[in-house]
Amino acid sequence: MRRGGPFFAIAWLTALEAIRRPVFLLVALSCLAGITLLPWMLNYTLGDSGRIIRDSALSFTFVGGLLLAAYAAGETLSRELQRGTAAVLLAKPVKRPVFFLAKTLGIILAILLFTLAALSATLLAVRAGANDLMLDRTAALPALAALLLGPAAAGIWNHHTGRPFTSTAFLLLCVLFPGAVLLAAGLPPPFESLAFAHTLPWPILQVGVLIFFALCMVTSAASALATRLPLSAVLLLCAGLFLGGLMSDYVLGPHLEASWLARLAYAVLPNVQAFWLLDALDGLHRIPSVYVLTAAGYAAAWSALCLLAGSFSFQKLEIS
Amino acid sequence: MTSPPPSRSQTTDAAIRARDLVKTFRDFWRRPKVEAVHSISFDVPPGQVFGLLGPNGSGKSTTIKMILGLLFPTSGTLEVLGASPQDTGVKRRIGYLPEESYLYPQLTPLETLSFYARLFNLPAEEAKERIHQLLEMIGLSHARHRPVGEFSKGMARRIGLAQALLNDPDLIILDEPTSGLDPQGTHQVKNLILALAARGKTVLLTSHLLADVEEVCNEVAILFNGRILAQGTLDSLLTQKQKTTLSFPTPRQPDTLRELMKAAKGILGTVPALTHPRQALEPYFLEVIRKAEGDFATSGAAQDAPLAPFLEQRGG
Repeated sequence: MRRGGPFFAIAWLTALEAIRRPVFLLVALSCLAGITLLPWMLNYTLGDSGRIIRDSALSFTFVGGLLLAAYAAGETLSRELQRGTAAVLLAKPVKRPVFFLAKTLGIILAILLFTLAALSATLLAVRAGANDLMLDRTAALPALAALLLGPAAAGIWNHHTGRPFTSTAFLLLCVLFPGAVLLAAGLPPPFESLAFAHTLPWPILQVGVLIFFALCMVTSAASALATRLPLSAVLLLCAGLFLGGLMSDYVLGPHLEASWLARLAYAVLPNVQAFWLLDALDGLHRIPSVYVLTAAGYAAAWSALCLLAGSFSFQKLEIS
Repeated sequence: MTSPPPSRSQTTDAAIRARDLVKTFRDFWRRPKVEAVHSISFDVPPGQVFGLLGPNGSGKSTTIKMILGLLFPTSGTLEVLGASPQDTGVKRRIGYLPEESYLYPQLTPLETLSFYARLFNLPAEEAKERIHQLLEMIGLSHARHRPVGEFSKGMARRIGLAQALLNDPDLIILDEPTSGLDPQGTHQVKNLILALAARGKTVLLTSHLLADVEEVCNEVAILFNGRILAQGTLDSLLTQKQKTTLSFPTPRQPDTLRELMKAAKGILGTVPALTHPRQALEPYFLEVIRKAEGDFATSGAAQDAPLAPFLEQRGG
């Protein structure tokens, strides 16, 4: 007997279904193209191009990931319920919390792949545009090649074998972008100071990990909301929730001492600022590991509460 | 109208036992909106083919979804294979074919059946063997690598049937099993139902096609507006004991028939109806197609495949 069979089977299928949706590829490809083309588009930045590229690329990663997480998590549940596949699945020996949690894990897996590809693209873009005067083509061209080669190869593969284009293209991008990072690391840069061996921006990866934690929170919240609400409402509420979380320090911060309501709202809203440490990158060489672990703990606790509420809601849901 | 009493005594171990089952759907404010099922009671005996009949909106699908644990009864009791419908142990022994073929369109038949096999924790080798046998049985081995989203309704229906039988279930619930199938497919499904029942499986089915139900069901319940209006074995419900049919080969001499009618009128006091029996369209159609099959290849489902061996072996 295979242990955990149903759980991992549902998670795998959910991830596959998510990346096979054309919207998923469209959003992921747009973000990766945006990040890759940043160094090609920037001019006359007065020595700030590295920072602008880094901030913009991570913004692409966060906003794109947020859209993908909310859309995929919201759609996977509401669509399964609407399409009737959930009814067939739950007529099998699958407990409802297992179904719900496996669905969420599947989306997190798809988001992890996107984050890996986007961070690889970010590393290449930061190196390619680090110098204001000269584009580092040893990083820019491998990134561009990965961006173009992924969909092109998927198209050819689809033509010859009939394999689904969208998932193949997405998976190829997830392989080709890290491959491009390795290739760029092996190529001699125009300036020795740009070589990855000296300048691999580890703190960017740390911020990337923190962004991934925030995206896990979005996925959990969207999954919980999707047990009762249609996709449009899930997207709207997720956007509102995380926008509120982004502004919570500014809006609620001054009232925390005096108002219990402000404290309650501050506790409930996801504190996205804790995961958005771009400013810290300017001053610090590295983000302390303790901070990353604390943020991971906060994200895990907040996500667990969402998933608990979602499981309870799904347990009571009538599947008609 | 109150529901008729169950046809079997309560001491029988019924595969499904419903008592005073009520299902009321509520609106957003929890106010009662529709009473889809109104205090129904019935038993589905093990090893029988039980038909749940009724027009659209009569409560058939709601009843089936309660049996599957997808909907919760508002009141009343429901036992499936001796346990609650929510029990996952019970679901391990149930096969369900929904009214529509709810499948993942991007998956191939092979991926679809492998996925469902994993939900039952079937060992890999056994799952592989069963999938192979089922694809042979439903006649879609040649299309096992095509996404099911590209399939015709009938082909998707066959995949739905295969997933319902994958776990070699004791109780098979078929919601409109012949919907979307061609006459050959319909014939095959009816034969399959009879073969499964002969092997001790319990089958609960719903259908609008009453002729199909008549051919396979031992017992039926007729629902209307959430209530059971009639229930019992087909023999008890349909036999017209006040009429008798006499069947014999047509005599060569026309006068023989005339003499026979005259004698019958003298004995019975009324003129009996005289007709020639007509062959049913289904066997005639199947015969025509069977003759043509040798000449043409088809990209659709292959016909007349045998029952999957694993379903044969385990029967009672």
